[in-house]
Amino acid sequence: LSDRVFEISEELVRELSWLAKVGLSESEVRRLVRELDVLLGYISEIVELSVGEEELLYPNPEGHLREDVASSEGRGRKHIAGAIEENGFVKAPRVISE
Amino acid sequence: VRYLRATDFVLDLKGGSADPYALLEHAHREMARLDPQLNAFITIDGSVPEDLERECRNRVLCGVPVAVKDNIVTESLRTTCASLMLKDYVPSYSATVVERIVGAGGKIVGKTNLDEFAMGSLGTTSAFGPARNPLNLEWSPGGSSSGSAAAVASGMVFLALGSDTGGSIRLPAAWTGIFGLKPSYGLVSRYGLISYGESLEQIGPMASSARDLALLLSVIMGFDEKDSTSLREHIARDRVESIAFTNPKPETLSGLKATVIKELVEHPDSDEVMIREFWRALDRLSSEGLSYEVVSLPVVLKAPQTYYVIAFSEASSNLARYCGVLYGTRRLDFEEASWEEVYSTNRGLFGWEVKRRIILGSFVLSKGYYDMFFSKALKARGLIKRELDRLLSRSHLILTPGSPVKPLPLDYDITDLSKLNAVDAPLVLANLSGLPAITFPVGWTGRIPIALHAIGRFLSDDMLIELAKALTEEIFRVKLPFEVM
Repeated sequence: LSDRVFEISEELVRELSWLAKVGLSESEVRRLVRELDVLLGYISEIVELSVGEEELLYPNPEGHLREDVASSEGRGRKHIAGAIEENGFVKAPRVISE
Repeated sequence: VRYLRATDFVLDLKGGSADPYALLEHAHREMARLDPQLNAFITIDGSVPEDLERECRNRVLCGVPVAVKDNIVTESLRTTCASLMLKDYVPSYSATVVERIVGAGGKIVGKTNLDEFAMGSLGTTSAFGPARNPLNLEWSPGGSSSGSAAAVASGMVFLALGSDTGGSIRLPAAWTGIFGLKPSYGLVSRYGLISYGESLEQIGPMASSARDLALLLSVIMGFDEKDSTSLREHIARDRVESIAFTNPKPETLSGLKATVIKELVEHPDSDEVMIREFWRALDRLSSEGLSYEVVSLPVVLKAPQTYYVIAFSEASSNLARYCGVLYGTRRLDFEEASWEEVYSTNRGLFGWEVKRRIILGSFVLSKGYYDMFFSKALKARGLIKRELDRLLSRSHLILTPGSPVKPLPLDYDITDLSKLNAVDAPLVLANLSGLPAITFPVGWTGRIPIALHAIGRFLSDDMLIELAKALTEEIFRVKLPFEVM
């Protein structure tokens, strides 16, 4: 895409890595600048595609909802076995700094 | 007795002439002999049920070993997604498909290798090293269901589960000379499949014969209230099961109409020999009664790009849960740093391909680019589906080569997108549209398997398997990969 409206820079990659919360080393940042450039060039080919007023398609043939009845067979605790539990709560990192 | 199909064993067992442990013992022996080379399995469960006679004599999969792709959860059996992120994850429940297999008497013998979180086409992004192609150890078996394909093609097991988000069942089937089905969207429950691109993917059967493919599909298919996209109305289970145990119907091909999309066959990056063999197979079929029409549909060459945008966007959301709180390996103490640092550090453990896809997915979903990429891709998806439905309103199937390129070597550079566009284009059509698609072998050139890929009308999965059975048993009389090896 010759007239691309964005440029892949180290700064952009660092920002994306921060937003997506995926840590990258400095060498990974440089590598991703090169590779994102290629990948974005490739997917940008759809920008020029003439699709008209097509509906947004998201297939969910006949989506259905369950009755709101507990059915974990008492296994709720087992399902969160990977968490750190403290005083009956799941422990997470601090989200508000002091 | 050396069995060549699970269905033959099932019939013998029913008739009282089979040892119920025959297939299990064979599987354990072959896994011990071959897996050190093939690396098809990440985790092996070598346990043997105590009394098959008493336990499951009357159940359809009694004593049949099944290999399960390691992105499908199995209670008490480690499920890694071939990622360091989940290398010690032992699920607290089983996927619906696994419960149904076990309920039918089947035995899960192990969890098969894959691209990390099913992201890849060669099986090479696995944190546990790549699975190898039994036909040539330097070749990729295709991905992402690389281990399931290697396990079936080498004859360790007859049945395996794969998952197919953008061709991940069908490409490995094509490159190893076996059968693979991507079911109609909603026919098979996704409950317990670790999500990558949930609007695109289905769990499906992989097998070394069409009969076995039907057998496994008949067990895993059907409505599941735990999956909100599961179909209530679908194909009769008995009908699918009957395909497993009956001879091909005569004249399956008469009156059958197919469409060939020119752009998929004339792709500039395809290998000449694969295309030549495709036309040869088609000539053979038309002499047996198939009629086909060649049409032009240039938009199919943009299907992989459309798929990338949607799949990566869905991945960036689905993989958000691996932050170390409920799931994922913890690398930083929660007391030591801010949540942002904790999450970024923990998630730095993803492999390179997964990182690329999450970050690219975040980019195309971000303000300013959402309409340009994501909305556009959804519209393109709608357009592609409408075009395929149009073609399928005047023919029964769309036929393409199983793979337009020869199996790629394991050291292929995956940042080179040229060959991968040729490979992806026919396959992702079925995922974007939700249509069923099957890949099956029609011959060999040396050790290279030649396969056909057929996309059918919605919920014509049974017809696709019936067709594959008739073609492979009556017309092409194809050798199994473990007979070629």
